[in-house]
Amino acid sequence: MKDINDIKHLYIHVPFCSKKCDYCAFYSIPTDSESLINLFLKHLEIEIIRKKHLCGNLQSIYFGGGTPTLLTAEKLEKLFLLISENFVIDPKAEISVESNPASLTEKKIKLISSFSNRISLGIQSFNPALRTTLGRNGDPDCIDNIIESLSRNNLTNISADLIYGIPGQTLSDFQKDLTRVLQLPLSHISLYSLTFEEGTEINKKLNCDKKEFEVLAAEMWHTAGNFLNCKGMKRYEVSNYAKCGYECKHNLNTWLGGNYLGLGPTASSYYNEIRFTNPVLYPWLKGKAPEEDIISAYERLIEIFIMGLRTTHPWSVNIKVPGPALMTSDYMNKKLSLDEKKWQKLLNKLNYLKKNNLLYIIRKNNCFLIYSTEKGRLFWDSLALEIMETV
Amino acid sequence: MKKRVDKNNIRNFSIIAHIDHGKSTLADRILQATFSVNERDFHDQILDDMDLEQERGITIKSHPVRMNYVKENGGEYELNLIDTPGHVDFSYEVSRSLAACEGALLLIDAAQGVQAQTVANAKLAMQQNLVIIPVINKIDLPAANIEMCYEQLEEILAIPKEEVLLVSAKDGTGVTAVLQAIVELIPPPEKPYGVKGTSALIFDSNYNAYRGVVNYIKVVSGYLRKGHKIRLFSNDIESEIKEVGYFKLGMNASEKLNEGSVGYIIANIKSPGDTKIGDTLTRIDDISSKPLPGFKEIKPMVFSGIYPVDTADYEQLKANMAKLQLNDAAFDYQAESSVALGFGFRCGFLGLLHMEIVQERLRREYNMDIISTYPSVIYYVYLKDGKLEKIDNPINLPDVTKIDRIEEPVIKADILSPNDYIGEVMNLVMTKRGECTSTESVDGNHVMIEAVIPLHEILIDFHDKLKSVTRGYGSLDYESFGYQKADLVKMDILINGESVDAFSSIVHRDMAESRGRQIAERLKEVIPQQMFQVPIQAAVGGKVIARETIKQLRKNVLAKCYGGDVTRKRKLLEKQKAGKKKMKQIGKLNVPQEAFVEVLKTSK
Repeated sequence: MKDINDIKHLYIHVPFCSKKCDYCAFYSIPTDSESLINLFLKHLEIEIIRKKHLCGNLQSIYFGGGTPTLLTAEKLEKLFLLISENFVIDPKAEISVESNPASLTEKKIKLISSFSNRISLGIQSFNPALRTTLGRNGDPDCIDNIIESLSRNNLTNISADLIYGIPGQTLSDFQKDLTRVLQLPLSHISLYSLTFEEGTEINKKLNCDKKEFEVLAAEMWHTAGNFLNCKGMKRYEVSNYAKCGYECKHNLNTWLGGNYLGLGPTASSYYNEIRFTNPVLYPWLKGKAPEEDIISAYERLIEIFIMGLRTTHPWSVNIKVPGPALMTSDYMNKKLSLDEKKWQKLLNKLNYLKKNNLLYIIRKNNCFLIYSTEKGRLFWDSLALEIMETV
Repeated sequence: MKKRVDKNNIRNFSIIAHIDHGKSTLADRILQATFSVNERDFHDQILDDMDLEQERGITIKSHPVRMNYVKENGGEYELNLIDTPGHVDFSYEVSRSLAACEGALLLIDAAQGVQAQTVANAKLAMQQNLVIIPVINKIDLPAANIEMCYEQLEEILAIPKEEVLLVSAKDGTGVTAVLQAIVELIPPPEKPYGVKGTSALIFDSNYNAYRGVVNYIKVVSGYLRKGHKIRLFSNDIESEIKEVGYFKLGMNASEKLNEGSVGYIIANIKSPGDTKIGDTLTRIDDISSKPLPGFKEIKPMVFSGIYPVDTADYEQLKANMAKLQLNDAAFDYQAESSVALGFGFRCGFLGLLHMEIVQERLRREYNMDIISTYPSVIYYVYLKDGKLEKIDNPINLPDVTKIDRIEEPVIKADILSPNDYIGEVMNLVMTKRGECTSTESVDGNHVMIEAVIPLHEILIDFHDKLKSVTRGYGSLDYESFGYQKADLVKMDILINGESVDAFSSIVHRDMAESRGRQIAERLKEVIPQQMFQVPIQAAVGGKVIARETIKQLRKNVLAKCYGGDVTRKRKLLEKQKAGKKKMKQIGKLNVPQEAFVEVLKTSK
């Protein structure tokens, strides 16, 4: 159990929201029931006590959901206390809180600022018609007051979420949203192409071929890349843009194959070469064990490799003959090793993908630097499938 | 039962009918009425061996059965029921089965009346001089129209109303009368005039994994027993009889098969291909001077490529084809290869149904994942240098500049249709490049249309179209009618600029464009979008005649991929990976199996 005491990244899933948005496929329960929230906090404490030994000096904490900020200031404070009392948090750790701006109050902002140093604002769109299509509640124009309050409280690392490729949305609608959001003092933006997930309200509502939206969505992806690049925000992952130095450390750790501990219903963890996924709320409250996803070392390596290709970070592969090839990311200090035969097989595929302009492969001293092209990121699913075929 | 039945008390008969008129059900009732099967063993349609036969409600292989029947006023009879295949693909097998009989029950569905195959089969039976016992079945149906049936029988086949029996095989009404008619009207077998020595007609054969080749025979003259040395007329193969016997529900060995009897012999014949249906078998020590009449070599009419989806399954497919052929001598195959599909087999079939049955059996009984190519007939290609090439695969068609002319097989079709749809039927014949040669009113309400139609046009959907233009009332029977010159061209299908040999077909020049367009449209629907635009083209002689374009995929990426999403995504990708394995790679893209199925269809 070599990973014990070594997990440096913590995720907390708060599975509640005031109303389920029509596009949302994440696990959440629309409720503000105090007793349910109390029950959640009680069991979160049990889970923390059971698993905290797995963690070392935390480098990142992420509160996601649901809407963590749906909790009242009092409950929010209790949640933060649970974390600070049970874990060792590095002074330089990145602590993010996801929020729906509609749920934020002056009091909550004060609390969040005192405990965390990064906030993510779920704006989605400023356009009222498109917000209706998305089934997103709240008034987006409250955002200016919130920003003001955040800066008063010295919380300056602010991220915003927008959705694009919404049925009815034109390229100019999208540009208006982008322009508007850039008026805010942001360090980070997540732009998500609307996905018509099975079981979501929007999927049921729109009974048509969803492929037609993809054409414009691809256009928007390119537009956003150029536009934000001009404004000093670089795309560092398929859907994420940041000013230099403000990439989300927590998510980069996930993409680049680091360990992490997830707490709360449906939260997932990765350590000891196993991915664990917690059950949904009620079984979780009863203490049901997480589901384990055990895959072979090579499959895991490929998984990390393809996840890394979502980002702009290159994989560096040392090919000092003879012996196994060693794969590292400039971001992680973990070395992934693969035997010569497998590496040759993988390299053949990588060269094929390079020929199809999905990858860059650059020879540098004893290393190959491998990273995805813009096109590679836009077709990441295809790219991933091709690479998985070498397993 | 050891007691020997006198030859005069033997009755050999068949049941002939249009498909679905209730032949197997009547056979079941006759078996029950003669106590040939106990209730415990009884299940519907006992004589249909294969699952596929029961499921499709058609008999593919004839399976004889011996029954004992005691007539009310005494007299014990041996009845041999020879069940015949019920589809036009197998008409030669029907004719050989009938040759083993002295009589036939002509079965007509009371609601549907006389159909094309009823007429065709009745004529076959009349040609063999069989006594025909007309039976109207399904009289219990609310839609039964017995008067109509009487009228049709009278007018089309000159069978008087008084001779007709009324039966409901479903509830058993009239079955006893049928049995009485069999013994009273059908004559006992008789040695044909001028036949000397021992001779037996092989009317079917089967391969048993434990026993080898089992020949179903009728002893026309003389007798056969174990140890007899025998010879086959068609190929002079000699052998020794290991076992003789007759059929109950299974095989029952017996001491001897007498003149007039129907049964089986097992000899040390190794290859199923050595015994041919319709051949005559004789005893070397009691040799017959000439074969029985009517023998024909069965030749496949329809050809199609069968390929394993996974090229690694080739050897297994080969082994299974060999096994299948043991039970189906009419099925023919040889190795071929395709650029698009790899190694596979060129297979010959009697007709389209036969082709479908073989493909289904490979899939179901042998668990093979297979792809089949567009069916073809044998074209006679006359070259300018005077040579004749017989082509059953479009990819082998010689270069156009070398071809003098191409001839294609045609059939003579007898189409029976209600008067109301005569226009539609003639129109259909015309769109299928056929020519109506005569029409004949049969009973005031129906016409028999005789037409000459290219076999290739019949292959694909003629039957379905006929049913649809006649609201289900039209029916069809056909026979080969030689070859006819036609303006035929090879049509290629190009996917992303690459010609896919498996999709090539030989079509009439006038139909190439519409057919090409159809195929291109279908392929567009089933081939997934790619990162690049994929043109699908149909071309004749290098000239593109139809084109569709599969639009380029614009993006293909999961927008949110965080902690728990990774497992979900990986599982999804695993599934796609497995799906992709089942696709066929053509150039840069993977084509799903459905594409090969879609190309086979012509209309929705």
